[in-house]
Amino acid sequence: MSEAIPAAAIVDPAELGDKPVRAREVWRSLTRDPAALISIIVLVLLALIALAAPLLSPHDPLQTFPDQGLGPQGQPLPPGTPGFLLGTDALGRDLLSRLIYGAQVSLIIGIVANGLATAFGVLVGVVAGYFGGVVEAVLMRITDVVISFPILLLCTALIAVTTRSTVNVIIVIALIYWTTLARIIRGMVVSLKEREFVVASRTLGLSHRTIMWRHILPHLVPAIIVYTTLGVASSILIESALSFLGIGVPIPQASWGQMISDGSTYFQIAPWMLFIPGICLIVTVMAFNLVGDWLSDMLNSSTPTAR
Amino acid sequence: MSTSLLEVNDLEVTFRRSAGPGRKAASVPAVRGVSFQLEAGTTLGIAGESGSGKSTIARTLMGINTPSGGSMNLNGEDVTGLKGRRLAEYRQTMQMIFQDPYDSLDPRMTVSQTLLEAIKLRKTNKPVSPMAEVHELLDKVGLSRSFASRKPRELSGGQRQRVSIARALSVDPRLILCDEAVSALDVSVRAQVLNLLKDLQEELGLAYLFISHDLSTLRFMADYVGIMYLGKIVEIGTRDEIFDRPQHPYTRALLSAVPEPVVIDRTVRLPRVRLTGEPPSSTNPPSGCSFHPRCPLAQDVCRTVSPAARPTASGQVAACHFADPELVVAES
Repeated sequence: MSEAIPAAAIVDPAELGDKPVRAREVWRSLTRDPAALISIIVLVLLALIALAAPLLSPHDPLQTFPDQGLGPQGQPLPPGTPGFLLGTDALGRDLLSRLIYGAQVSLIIGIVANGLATAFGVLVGVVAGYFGGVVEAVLMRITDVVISFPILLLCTALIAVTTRSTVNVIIVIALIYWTTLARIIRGMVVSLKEREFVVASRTLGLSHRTIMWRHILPHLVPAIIVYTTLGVASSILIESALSFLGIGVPIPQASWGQMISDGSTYFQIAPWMLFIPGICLIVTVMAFNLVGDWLSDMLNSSTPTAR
Repeated sequence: MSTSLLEVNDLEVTFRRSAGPGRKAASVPAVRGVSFQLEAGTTLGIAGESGSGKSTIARTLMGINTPSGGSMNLNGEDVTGLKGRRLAEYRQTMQMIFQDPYDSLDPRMTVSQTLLEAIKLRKTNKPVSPMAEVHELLDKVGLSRSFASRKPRELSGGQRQRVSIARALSVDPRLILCDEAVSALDVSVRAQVLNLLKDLQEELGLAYLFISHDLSTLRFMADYVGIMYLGKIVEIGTRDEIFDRPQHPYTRALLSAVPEPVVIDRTVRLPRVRLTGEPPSSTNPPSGCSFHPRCPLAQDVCRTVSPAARPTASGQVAACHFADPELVVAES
């Protein structure tokens, strides 16, 4: 949930985006950064698992097994139990199946919520930065207001006045996460619009929309990619936090945050209920962050021939 | 009025600076009452120090900055403060070539994309085959057709500037503003680009407003020359009047500052005028004649009365109390 601004966002846009990125360079850069390579592999695997959830999960994630799924005293089964590879939870549901469906929820929320936030943030940032004046003042003050709220508090309040559903969680995260990107993009556009090729397209008589779309937006793409990758991690964490607080994805649907929340209750008798989804969450968030860092390094490494 | 292609009367451009930490709000008069005319097919050169308002004139003509006073007439039509579609139309008549060839082309677009974008804006004389038009433009600026698929980073400074020229030409302008268009180029490349501009002028009957701090470039390019100091044109006349018989002490100082690699045999050897001090702040221009704190001829009258621009005996118009032949002779 850190508010760290990725390095790509604060460098001069002149250095960004003017360099073509070739497949060979990407590969060379990846071999020099094994952590990023492993992260990409992890994320690809995760995506495949989430996509193939119905095929891979051994049980229905919502189905309880009151007889086979619980021990003699009604306690959850530990990992390695025949039929339940990662054990069961307090209701006798298969943990592995829930984990797999939870990955689906986390990725969908992370990507969709963050995609919406990115689109909105870029729109606000470009319009504010390009037009300046009153438009900019109004848009950026709204951004300041939203940014000044504590994120979790605002999410909680917004969810409290709506009903608890996955769609609402996505909307709430999107409504909050556009602000940082809007600020970053505005800053880049303010400097971009003074560059001679943008001034030249104005003097040529191109419309504002064409200039923003063809001469400004393409130069923002690298920063947007980097920020979005890092933002997916934040969104997944926020969703987990909301589920942990009991206001996220509605029960009984599986989500990692929900599973961690359940796990914390039974921590002393069934620690795996907490650790297994916890580790999954940490690995996924770290993988997104490492990929984001790598992207920002690769897209920013300025070479003398960059321009 | 006359049949001038471009007529600028009393143009004023003032920038407002808002108050910030440790400074008050201020207005910066960047251009103060500039007037000139430009005939079709001729070149007006404008010279002056950094910050004298040369580029502001060009940017105001192109509608990037808004004038705070005065008027601009293009083809006899008042184009001051145009907006929206009218401004876009007017921009087709007038195009601009920028200073930095490394920044004036979108690095993500190929040469043909850049040119096609401009060609498609053309209101009249729409080309049947835009790609053929691209090739024609490349021919015009002396680039081979193979450049069409290249990106700016594959081009040299001179080649980029040729592409900029082609882009400016693609909307069929009558007037091209060259804002330090060759200043960033090597001397040899500069000569080629200047020759290209001259050839295009002859071929297409273009008028140029040529802004440069480099007097030798202006001597080569311009038919008329205006010298700017602190937002005002202090002297304006034909090239020969300005270069051979300068009247304003600032013009003389500028001309003395041009290094001469070869001793030129001049019939009239101009007296050397050295300037001391920095140009004053344009936020708070000096009283009377703006040039008086640095002027070797300054008298009491210069501190109080701003000299009006008036014709001098040698032909040009100069804004100096002492701009007449007797004094020049007496001084040298």
